[in-house]
Formats: sequence, C-alpha cells, structure tokens
Amino acid sequence: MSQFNIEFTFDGEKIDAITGQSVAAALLAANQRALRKTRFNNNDRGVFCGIGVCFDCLVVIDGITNQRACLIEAKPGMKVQTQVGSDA
Amino acid sequence: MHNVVIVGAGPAGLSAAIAAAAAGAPVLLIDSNPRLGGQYWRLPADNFGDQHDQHFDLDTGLLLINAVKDRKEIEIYSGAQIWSATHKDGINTLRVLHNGVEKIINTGNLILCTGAYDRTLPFPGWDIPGVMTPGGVQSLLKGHGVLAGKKVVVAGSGPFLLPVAAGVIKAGGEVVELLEANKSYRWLLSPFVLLENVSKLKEAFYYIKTISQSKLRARFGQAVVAAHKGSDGSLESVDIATIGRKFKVKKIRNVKCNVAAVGWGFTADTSLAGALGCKQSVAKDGGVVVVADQDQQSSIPGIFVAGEITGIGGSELSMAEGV
Repeated sequence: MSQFNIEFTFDGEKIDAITGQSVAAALLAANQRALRKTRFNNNDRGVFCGIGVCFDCLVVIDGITNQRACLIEAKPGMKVQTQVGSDA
Repeated sequence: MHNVVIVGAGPAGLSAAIAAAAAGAPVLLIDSNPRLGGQYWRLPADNFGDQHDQHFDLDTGLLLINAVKDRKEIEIYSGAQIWSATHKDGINTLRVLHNGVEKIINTGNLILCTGAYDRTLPFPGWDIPGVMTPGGVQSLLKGHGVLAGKKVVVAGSGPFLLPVAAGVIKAGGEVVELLEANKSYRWLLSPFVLLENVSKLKEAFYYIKTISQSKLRARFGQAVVAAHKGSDGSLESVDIATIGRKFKVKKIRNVKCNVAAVGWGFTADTSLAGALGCKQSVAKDGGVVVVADQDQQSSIPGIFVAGEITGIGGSELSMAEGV
C-alpha cells in the first residue's frame, strides 16, 4: 500500500491523500463523512454511489461548484469546500 | 468524423474496442473513469501495486486493458464526461468534456457499453452520510484503497453482496451483519446461473470461502429498514427487520455500525441510450434495459449496445456481447 504523498484542504483543514485517490476517498479515509448540505433543511450528505452516478458527493473545488468528489483525483494544494445548497 | 466510437471501458467496451480495431476501424473509446476496466476491473493508480488479491479474475481484465492500450487504432479519452448526445440523419453527435476541453464527436457507428449501477430503494435515513451502495463501498476499496468504515452492515439481495463483504473483511474491516433478504441464496440454485454461467458459481464460492474464514455468518430473510444518525450527524446504527412474505416486517433489532451498504442488485445505465432515443424495455428482473437485436444493434441503425445495458448478466456475457 502506498503512503500519503499529497496534501489538500477541506474547509481549511489539512487532508492527506495518495496519488490516484479521489477527493471523496481521501476525505472518507480522514473520517470526513459529510461533504455537502442540501438546499432544503441543510441536511448533511456524503458519498453514496461512489461511481459518479448519484451526484450526492458534490463539493466546491478551487471555487468551482458541483464537482463530484468521487470522480475527481486529489491533487496537491486543492482547496475543497463543503457545498451548501447549489452554492451558486 | 470518427469511424467507431465506444462509450464505456468495462468488459463490453474493451472487447468491442479490440474487435473493431482488429477489423481495421479507427476507434475512439470514451470513459468516465481515470483508468480503463470499468466497475468490474476497477483499478487504482499504478503506485498502489499489484491488485490480484482484490479481484477474482484480474488476468482477463489486464489482458483486455493492455491490448486496448497497445492498439494504435484506438484513441482513449479517460476521465471524460458526455454532457449531450443527439442523433440526426444517421449521425450521432456527442459533446464531451475531456481534460477541461469540450470536444464535439460525430460518428455513424456508436457502441454504448455504459454498464450498470446499484439498484437502491429508499428507507428512513437512507440519506445519512454512511449509508451507501455496496458498489460504492467496493469502488472505494478497489479504486482507492479506502475502507469506507470499520463496522459495516452489508444488506439487500443478490450475489454482489458477497464480494463486497469479502472485500471489507480482507481490508481489515468488520462486517457486523451480512443480510440477504431472500430465504436462501436462491440465485445460486437458479437454472440460469448453473447452466449459462458456471464460472459465476465458481466466483460466488470464492467469496463465500473468504467470508466463512471469518466468524461472519450470513442471515437470510432479513433487511435494513431504517438508519439512524449519531450526534456527529453520520450513521450510528441501523434497524434490521426479520421479514416475511411480501416484505412483511416481523421483528426489528438495532445494530451499531458506521457504514450500511444496502443494494438490491443492479440496474442498467440507460441514460445515454435514452437521450439518443433507443427503444427500451422492462427485463425479467424488473429493470429497464435497452433493446438489442442479434447484431447488438439498438432500435436506431448505427447505434449498438453491449454489456449490462442490455440486461444484467455479468462480465463474461458483456465481453461476448462486446465482440
């Protein structure tokens, strides 16, 4: 198994990752389970399908909204944020 | 104008790409994953090392993946998103986002191998972080080396629950419950599995062996009917019901866990075929599939479909259809 060699941030907090891991996988490994808040009621949502089908793991990455955390590979220095509603 | 365009790089798409290239056609293979193999042969980046212990039959997959990479006739767009698909006068137009650039692809020969995804049913608490699909738990393990949680309930129905439970155990997690809603592994005994898909049976026993080496015993006739969150907002426990005929709930117990992988088999991903207007029908298992003739052609001439999109049958059938 590979060792952590990438750092990015989630809502300002440092997250370790391994080259090739998705943002969602690295966040789950760091026990960050809630990735966004729903438009109505502000409910927490996390990784559900893990393969890009359900759009439940949407996050903001480097200012771009609606990114599927399960499909985007973690890169050094990424700024990932909880998406609140549509965050438009 | 591309001669042959294939969407999906799983067992069906890889097989189709090799067959088309062998026939001399320049091929464009478009896939949403960063790496070839689809869901069945989902692989992490090369730095994760050998992956044979994560797979039942990786050699076949690697053979196909390497053959596709080696053929000069095959151009590959990995990590791509198709955001629009239209069909007019025999020409299919795909609008594809690849490496941050939009490309417009036109082809007269489109092969859709878009596969399938977990069939899910809602229950109270299904949207709590920690409730996932079995496929999601497996993709995190196979593709990223991440165990979704330490205490996992695997539930629902169908053979796919076995590799998911086996994967969690191998990765050092605890499968606190493995629940099959049917009264037994009924699908193991079905004539379809025995006559048409003998190697699937072998694969099932391969996973059962891993599971039985742990202390875990599968329970039958039980299902997850509700999920509850803890003070941190993520999953803390599930309600497990003993169920009778027609899902009649008899008895409920509460079990602590931080992941619940609940799925009811697979359903074909018909979104692209549907957008193009290919005829669909309801399969024997109740799922919607794309209609194909004996040449794997859909109701629209020039659009072909292969693999799970035409009905859930596993990787071997998908490879055969792809060819």
